[in-house]
Amino acid sequence: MKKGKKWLAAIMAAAMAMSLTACGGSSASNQSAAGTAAAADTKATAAGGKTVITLWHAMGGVNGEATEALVKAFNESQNEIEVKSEYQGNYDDLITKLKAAMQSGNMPDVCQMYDIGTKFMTDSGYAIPVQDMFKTTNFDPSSVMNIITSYYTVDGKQMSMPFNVSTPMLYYNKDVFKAAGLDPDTPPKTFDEVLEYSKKIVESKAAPVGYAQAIYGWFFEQQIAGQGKYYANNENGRKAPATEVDFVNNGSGLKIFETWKKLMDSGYAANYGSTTADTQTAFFSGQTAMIIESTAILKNATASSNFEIGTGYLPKIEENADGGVIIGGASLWMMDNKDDARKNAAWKFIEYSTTPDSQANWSMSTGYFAINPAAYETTAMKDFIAKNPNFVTAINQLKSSPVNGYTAGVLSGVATESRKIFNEAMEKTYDGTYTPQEAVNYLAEKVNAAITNYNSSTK
Amino acid sequence: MNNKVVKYLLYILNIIFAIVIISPVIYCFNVSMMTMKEVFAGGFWSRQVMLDNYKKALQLAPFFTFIKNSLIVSCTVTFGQIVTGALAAYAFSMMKFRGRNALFLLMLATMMIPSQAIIIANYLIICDLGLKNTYTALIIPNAASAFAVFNMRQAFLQLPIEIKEAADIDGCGNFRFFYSIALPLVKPAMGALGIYIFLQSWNHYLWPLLVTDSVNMRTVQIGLGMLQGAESTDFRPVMAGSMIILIPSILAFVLGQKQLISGLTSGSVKG
Repeated sequence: MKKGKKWLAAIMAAAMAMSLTACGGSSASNQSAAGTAAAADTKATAAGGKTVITLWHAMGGVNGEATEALVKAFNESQNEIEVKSEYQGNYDDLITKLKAAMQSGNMPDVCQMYDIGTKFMTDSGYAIPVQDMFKTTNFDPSSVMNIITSYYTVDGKQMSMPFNVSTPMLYYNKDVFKAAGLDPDTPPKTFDEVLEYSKKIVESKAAPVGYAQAIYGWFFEQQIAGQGKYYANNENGRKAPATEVDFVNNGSGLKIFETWKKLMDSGYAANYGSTTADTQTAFFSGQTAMIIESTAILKNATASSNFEIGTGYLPKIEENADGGVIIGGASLWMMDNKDDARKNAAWKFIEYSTTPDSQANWSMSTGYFAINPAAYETTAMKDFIAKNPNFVTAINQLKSSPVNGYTAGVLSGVATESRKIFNEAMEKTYDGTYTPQEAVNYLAEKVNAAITNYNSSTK
Repeated sequence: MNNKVVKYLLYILNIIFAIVIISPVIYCFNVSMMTMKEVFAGGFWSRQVMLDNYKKALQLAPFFTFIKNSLIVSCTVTFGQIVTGALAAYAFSMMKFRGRNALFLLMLATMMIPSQAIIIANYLIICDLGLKNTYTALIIPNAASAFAVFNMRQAFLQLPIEIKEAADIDGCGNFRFFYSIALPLVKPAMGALGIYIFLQSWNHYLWPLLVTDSVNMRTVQIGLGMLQGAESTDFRPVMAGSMIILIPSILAFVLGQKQLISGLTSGSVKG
């Protein structure tokens, strides 16, 4: 019996040890093992004579299919490099995984990263700026639209290659416009007009709601750029790291909160919360006549709606010559694995992704912009645009936006946090807890604290 | 007579609750058969039987591979947690040794650590051990849990101590008592715990995403992620995918439930 007891205790202890090792962290042996893993990876690369590189992406659904198609086309276009593409969850999952991979030395060679991860990637020190690679293949940087690369340019250097690019625009229900006696070919251009149109739509009972937009920090950033103003100081953090927000001092923030609050209080607009899919659903199902959404949903919107869709430029708070839209989406980053063969291979893949044909296929199957203007000259793309006239709105809006520090967008290490704080401030403005002025002050105070915190952690 | 009326009223109430609970699943099934425009037209039922969305889901993500992987992982994890949980719980409840309570409290304390806080540390260990992209990496960190120990200990504590004393007097060793007497008596608790662990493991997302890279090692929840777009999502393949991966978890529940009921009855006779 005593023997049995000891046995049991031993097994129990083993069980305990198992759960404890699973919980504890041992950093002492990290480095050496990470080194071995990296060495093993290099060996795998050399096998078969081809340079094998890994691409991490966050593209699901049809976008995922298009990414796989691009990789396949590249692998078939030559026989020296093989790209293995790996889906790593959505944008947030991907950045979590990449952060862990940076610590363990298991980074991919090419990694997709969303727009607001640009500052993190730059500060991480693990990225190779794509601009450093231009010379190796005589890449012509002007083959990519300037307004798109400006977002990914830090300290005058292009850090990454834009991959999936979109901007917000206005979507409206042409059938409802007709029923309300509005011209279905002239969408509203300013928020004053949005209010006026919404009033007509609701009063004529053409649709229950005139206008809706998700509570989304991206739209706030867009309206600051639309007014030709900076979000943060030091020219949106691009001349030097931003130390505080600028939208309080330049007055752009207050104007936005006041405009949106007025719109929502009129009773002609509705708030469907911070999940963009909910606002989309309200539009697709005919509940609301107008919404603001990414240009990338055009394909899905056309397929989902039982009515004719019209598109227009993003409505403005006020006319301004310097104002325009900021691009969003994600870009491809080169990760430094200290291996020249893989580095060059990674760049060749990225370069391939910018060719007119690649971009035309990518744009047609996903609905994102083609970053290379030459793509719009291909026959396939011309046919596509002829069949999808709404796509022209998106392209023209982007082309008509001036390239400057305002439309380059804010470069911030705390963008995710700032957008969360914005959601809070906006919700509290809609429900009347805060006046627009209080909301702007609250937002500025919280974002400034986050920026200070970030800056002190990266020093 | 009155009793009968009450009984039927309860039945009706039961049916109403069942409908309320199952209707989202039925709607999910309907959406998986709809055309794009039908989804937003607002109807509950699909106008046709259509397998296009299932084809699309399978084309976007190899669900059968994912189901196989998830089954391997979830079954092993369930088995592991029940074995380690039952053995440790037996020691904590039936055996007396120095530091028992302190050890138990220490183990309970690990339940207070949010899994997000240690996930990166766990990932680094798995990388160090060279286990990335293996079943071992998916299973080992979840093969034992404080919750399972706690849960099984509660079950063992329900047993009258007199049984243990009688066994001791008859010279029944700890292993024999554990295996032949204690375990059969706590079968219902084991069944319930098993279902819980299985479903929890089946629903894991972030951990499998972190430790696996290649698509043939991935699990079902990542498959669902692969169907969703960044800006907008076609929900029909997502619903089709959900229906596909729902089947094994329903089976787990049905099988576990049978165990649970048989455990209840056998326990009541023997106890």
